Amino acid sequence: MSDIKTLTDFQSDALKEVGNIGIGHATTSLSRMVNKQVGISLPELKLIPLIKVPLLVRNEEPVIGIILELKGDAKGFLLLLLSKQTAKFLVRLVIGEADVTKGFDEMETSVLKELGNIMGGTYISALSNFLSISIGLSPPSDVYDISDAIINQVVCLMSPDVEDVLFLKTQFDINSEKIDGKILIFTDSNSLTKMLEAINKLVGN
Amino acid sequence: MDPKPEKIIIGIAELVVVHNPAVLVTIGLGSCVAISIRDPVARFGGLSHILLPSISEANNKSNPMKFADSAIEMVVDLLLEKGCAKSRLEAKIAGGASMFNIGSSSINIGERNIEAVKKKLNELNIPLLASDTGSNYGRTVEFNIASGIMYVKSAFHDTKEI
Repeated sequence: MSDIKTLTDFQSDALKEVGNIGIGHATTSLSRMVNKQVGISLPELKLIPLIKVPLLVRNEEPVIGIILELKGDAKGFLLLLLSKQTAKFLVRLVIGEADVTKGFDEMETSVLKELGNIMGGTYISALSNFLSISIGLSPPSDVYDISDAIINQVVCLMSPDVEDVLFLKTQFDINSEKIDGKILIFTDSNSLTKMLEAINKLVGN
Repeated sequence: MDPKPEKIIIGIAELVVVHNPAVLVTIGLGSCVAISIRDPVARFGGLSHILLPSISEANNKSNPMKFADSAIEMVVDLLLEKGCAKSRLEAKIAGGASMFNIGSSSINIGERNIEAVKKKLNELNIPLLASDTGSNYGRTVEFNIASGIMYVKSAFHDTKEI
């Protein structure tokens, strides 16, 4: 399998656009669930060595992480990282209550997993439809721990087969208020060939 | 007491060997393992942050600091170059957690990393003085070269001194 090390401006723009469409769909679904307007920052997209990713998302604070694995034509991971306050805020929007003084109980965790699941599901279905490729999704896992350590484990899990990743990072806000929520998407660089072929087909090259 | 020693941050797949005084830090270990090796007499020590068990199983061998076996060899070689005695070297390790289980990646990479580290230390006859490994939470490590104490911090547990 050819390993693409650099992207042309066109490829980078096209992948950013595809990511944007996917994340746009994902936030629309989140918006429906919480019944508020959800916005996103322009995604940051980079093709970089996997082990450099931690430098782009440094955070020693604990966060709630909802993690989904991408399979099929695009392999990798999708992470939703939320500060405790943000996670509780989202839970409150969905079920009406959330105790910020405590950790996360089963009910709250399952709400957050469901949010991750729906966002992940809409992201990959938008991507699959748009690019006519087939992407599968694992059930969500949850973890509440040091943000850096969560990223560290994802890097470890990918590292046996992957040198470079297409890394996409975006922040989201609710009712125009900045909240401490991030979406990170790791795509194995081997999957890039398939995605770029699909993009080329789409633009008629 | 020494003045506050310099803190050196070690990232994923990096390693550092220095003379006392210094504190070597690695932040947010998930399944990765931090390995300290120190010569208490020469007052040299090193810390490495590995993410995979073995260079021999890897397709891409360009960065030996990524793997337990090759990184340990590198640290030991650097220490010997500085005049440390192999017979005095001693090790401590932390990390190798499995914070979440997901999809196809059920093979516990943390456990495999810990095993590979222990195997290599054993092979080189370096005693493992202490360890804080496994379980399901992330760790931040600070290794003090002067005292040989490794502080292991985590989000929801008390800091351990090993």
